[in-house]
Amino acid sequence: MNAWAIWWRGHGAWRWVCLGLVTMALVLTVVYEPIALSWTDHGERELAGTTVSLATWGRPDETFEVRLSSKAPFKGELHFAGQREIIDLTDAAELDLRVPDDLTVIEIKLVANDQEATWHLGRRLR
Amino acid sequence: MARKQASDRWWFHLHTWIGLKLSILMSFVLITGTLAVFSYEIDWLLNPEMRASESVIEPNWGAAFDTLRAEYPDVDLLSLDRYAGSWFALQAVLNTRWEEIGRLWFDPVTGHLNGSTAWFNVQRFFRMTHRHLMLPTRIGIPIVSALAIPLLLSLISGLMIYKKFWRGFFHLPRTKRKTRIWVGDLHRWLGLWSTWFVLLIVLTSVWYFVEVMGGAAPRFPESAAPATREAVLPATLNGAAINEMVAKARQELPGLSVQRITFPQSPEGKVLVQGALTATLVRPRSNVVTFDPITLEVLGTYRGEDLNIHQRISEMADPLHFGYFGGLWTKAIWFLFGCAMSALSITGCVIYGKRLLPTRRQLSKALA
Repeated sequence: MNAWAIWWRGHGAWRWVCLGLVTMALVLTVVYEPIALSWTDHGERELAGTTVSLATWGRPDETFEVRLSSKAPFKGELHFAGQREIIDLTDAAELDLRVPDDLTVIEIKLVANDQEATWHLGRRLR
Repeated sequence: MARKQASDRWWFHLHTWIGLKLSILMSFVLITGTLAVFSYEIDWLLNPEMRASESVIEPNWGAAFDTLRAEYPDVDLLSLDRYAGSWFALQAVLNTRWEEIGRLWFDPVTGHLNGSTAWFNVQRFFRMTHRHLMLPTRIGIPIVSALAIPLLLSLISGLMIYKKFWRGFFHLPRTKRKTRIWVGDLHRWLGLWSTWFVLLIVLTSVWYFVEVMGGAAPRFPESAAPATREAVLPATLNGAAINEMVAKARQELPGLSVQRITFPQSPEGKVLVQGALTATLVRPRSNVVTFDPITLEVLGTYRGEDLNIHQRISEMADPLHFGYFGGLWTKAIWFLFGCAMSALSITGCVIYGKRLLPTRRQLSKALA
């Protein structure tokens, strides 16, 4: 048995307490995100006779998770970074939008009955 | 004589027990704390955005603010600051609409946007792992700061078992002897020279423990309320207004070296211009001039000397624990002694293993 093995065994149960705390700190470092861990509400817009609200989760990275909800059934199109998604809401829907690498400004537009509503979220950080 | 020996044995067992049982956690906290001393500089080396084009004492805060408003009009600006040195770019800390914290870097002369970096960087990694093991602060800070007690006991017991320790300062480690001997010499020698530093870290850590357990210092003096407004940041607030506030702050507190401007987060909020002045061992937030963001009127002023003893202790803890109060020189000293403390923990483990190794070998032979 070498010196390090003696040291390791000498800890007794304390090694698991200490190692557990250190391992947890390192794991939490890997999963840590400096961003709210909840839906961020971006407000409501009046569109096609109903009120639609938009919320997002996380940052616009490779994808951007958005949630649309309306007070009454809503049919329309979502426009984002050149993509179009058909939206048919009875209550709420969640979708992952693909974010192109070269996209700098985050703007989400809903179109219905020749009307449109825009959520301008601003410029990406990187 | 027998009583003295029993006492010595008790101190020795205490020293060994603390050093061994807590060695993994203690080494981790000590090593992360040591590297945290130069964590800003490590980030500066890794990220060209953080570098100033030239070293200037008085940066152009207003130019950076104007660039930020033009390039990122939709973010919530939390602060503009430059803590670490004149070779650093101006940093804006902000919150996006999707609630991501970020950093933007501006040239301190032209206000040109150098670029952005992630909030979680080398500095945050070392700060958060060292300070609270990445756990929620209410849980992590008490765990880490409570290590001050075993650290103090380790220091006292070390001095108790080191006979005539005051003679040991100039007994250099005998590096030509076998590992067990020279590592033991090194452990004692480093321990002696870093006694003051260990004590300092113990005291400041005890303060952090007291602080998180409810003994935090009272709030700083309140200023007058600003005029009512609807927006958090008025549209009239521009770079010229920022520079005007910086100039007024220097009139209010002559000699103020501005290090940080914090921005309101609600329509009732104020702009705070903070920095270094005459009080020693305080954070920049101890010297403050408060402004109304619409009228640019001074709403209140205080300086480090105006704070009460409780607030001064609170302000003193960080500069003493981090070692940044004297610039790079004190940081270098803190880093060296941080290395010494980390080495104490590691050499202690080596001594333990090496001390028992012959005993275990003899036992194995006897059993064979």
